[in-house]
Amino acid sequence: MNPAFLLERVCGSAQLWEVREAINQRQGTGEMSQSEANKARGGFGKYRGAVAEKYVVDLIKGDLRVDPNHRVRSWDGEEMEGIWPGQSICDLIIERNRTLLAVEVVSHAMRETAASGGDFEGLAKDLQIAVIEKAEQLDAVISRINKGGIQEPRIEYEAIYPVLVNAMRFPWNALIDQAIRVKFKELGLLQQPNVRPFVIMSVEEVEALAAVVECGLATFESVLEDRFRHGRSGEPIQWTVSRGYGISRPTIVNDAFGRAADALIEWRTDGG
Amino acid sequence: MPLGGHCTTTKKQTPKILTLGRAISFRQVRSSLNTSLLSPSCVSPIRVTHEVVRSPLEVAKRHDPLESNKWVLARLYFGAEIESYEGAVTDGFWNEVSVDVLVQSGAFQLSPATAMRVTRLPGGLLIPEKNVPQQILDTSAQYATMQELLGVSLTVGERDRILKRHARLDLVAAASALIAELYPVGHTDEEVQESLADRKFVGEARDRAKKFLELGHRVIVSPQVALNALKVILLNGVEDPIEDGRDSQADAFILALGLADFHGMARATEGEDRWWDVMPMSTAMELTRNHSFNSSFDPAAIIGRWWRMREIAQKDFPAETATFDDLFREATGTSLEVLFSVGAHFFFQMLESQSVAISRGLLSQLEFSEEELDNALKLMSATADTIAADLEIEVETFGFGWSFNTLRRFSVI
Repeated sequence: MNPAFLLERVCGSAQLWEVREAINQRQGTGEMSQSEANKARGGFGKYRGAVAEKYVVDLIKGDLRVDPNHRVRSWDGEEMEGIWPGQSICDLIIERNRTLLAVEVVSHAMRETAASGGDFEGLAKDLQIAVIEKAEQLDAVISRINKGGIQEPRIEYEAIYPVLVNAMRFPWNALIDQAIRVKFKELGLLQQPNVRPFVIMSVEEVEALAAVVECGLATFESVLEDRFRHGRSGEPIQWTVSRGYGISRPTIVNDAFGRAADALIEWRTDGG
Repeated sequence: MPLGGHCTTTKKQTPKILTLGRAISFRQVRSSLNTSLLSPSCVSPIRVTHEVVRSPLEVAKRHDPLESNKWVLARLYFGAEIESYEGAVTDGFWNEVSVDVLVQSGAFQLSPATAMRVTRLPGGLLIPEKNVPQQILDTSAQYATMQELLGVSLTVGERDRILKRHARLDLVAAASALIAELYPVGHTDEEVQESLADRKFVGEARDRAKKFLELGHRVIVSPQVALNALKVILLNGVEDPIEDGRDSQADAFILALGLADFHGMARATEGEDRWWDVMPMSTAMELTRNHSFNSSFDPAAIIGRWWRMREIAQKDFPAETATFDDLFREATGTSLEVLFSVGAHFFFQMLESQSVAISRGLLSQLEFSEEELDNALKLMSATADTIAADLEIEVETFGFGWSFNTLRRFSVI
């Protein structure tokens, strides 16, 4: 009935909902205790999150090379754990000259009732998990960096770009941006003078930006800086990318699509 | 005059499922197009490298290269490069392809025909000196209402009369075809709008539609409204029509247009609760609900992303992936790969046959067991009655609005 829903179902939502439902059913029939079910759900969530995080970090890092003069450096989650053991970290930091991109990936699926129905309470709870808690994490990392740097040589950053990537899609737009700004101000989150407006991106938007970066047209930071300077930080990234660049897909995705097509051919008994 | 009289469509017309040009890889284009394409005169013969492509559905084999630019785009879509040929510029074919290719690949409105000036970056990337804004997010579109287009509104009585004129499944197929037509490059795309305006309206209604298009408005409903028409049909349609022979596609379109008038943008009412004291709650929900529809639909990206994540899962998290796969198989009786294969083959079959009706027999061409295939099919399909029953619960729970969980869950009848 709907080509978009069909692909959405087979390439994503079926895995999520069928496995969740299976765990719920096992709990319901007593095959799993509540703690076992919670553990299974947690493990499943962590697993999905880890895969999404790796995918997004690969996209953003792209062909990034650390240069010997320390003009470009990057740290992923594991490296940050080594520098700041036991403390709050994020998933990726890229330092380029005197700018810093701080990225956190969240895979919290907005509950179906919130995403599609009328469950306002559910939406608010989802936002607390998917946005506020992650912003607190980014805020802690950025405050620490502003105070003591990351590694030598220590850089005084002119601009820091906090980015939250929601692997499960998040409705980012000017109104939600405005609402989040009000909330962050109230909570004192990400208010440091060198911190640029917080932005939430979908994986699709990261892909689009990665495609632009890959072509050498811009960097993630320069796109975000352009948005900031033109007062467009609240716009969906998709607007920025389609208005200014019009490139939609990075090589990582194209190549993977090619491999998927090859597999589809192989799976046919008539040779495709 | 009955509403159907304002609107026309050819019954045999089948939907264009998607535009292949959307999925073109920049690097492929960059490597396949030689510099002659962008030389100042822009009249040189085109020569591009050739690599035989085997699409899963053999799209390429069925078309002559000079017959349709879709053939070439299909080749690009499936990861291959354009076949070598010369002289195509002269018959106008290449101009079309190149515009499409270049626009989609990020080189904007650049074509040998217009000879727009370009700058070559050190990496080989060709950048036009003047950028042309591409498609703006769909939410920015203004839609003409049914009242404005046809001078009438869809009453409940008229809606019911339409529903009774056709068998439910015929109307479902017609509404599905409309949805599929709205998904190509984007339903606000001018070409899509022009084409549908030409085919869906007649007489004064067509003139009005054209006028609205000239003003920058959109005359065709958005996919979410067409989905709502589908819901209405599933919930209230009849098995045995009282009057046959009417054009079900025209009537499905009328239903969608009528519904569009009922579902405008949410407006805050006085005293309404505000989300974080900033925006009216209804607007927040409206934006949330609409967002997934208004984002772009790029099938190759959806498939590529899924595949890449699966590769990462298997390579970097093998133990967790094995546990997850076992759980999935236990829960569903099939594997993720079988599910993907079935869904993708349905999708590509739609592309190839340009039809929303797909034969179950298609699956016998896959090397998986019947049981696995059936179980995979169950994960995406249900009977019309089952879907209607679930829809009723959903509508009761969330209201009619923009809730489409059931249709997301079962996208195949």
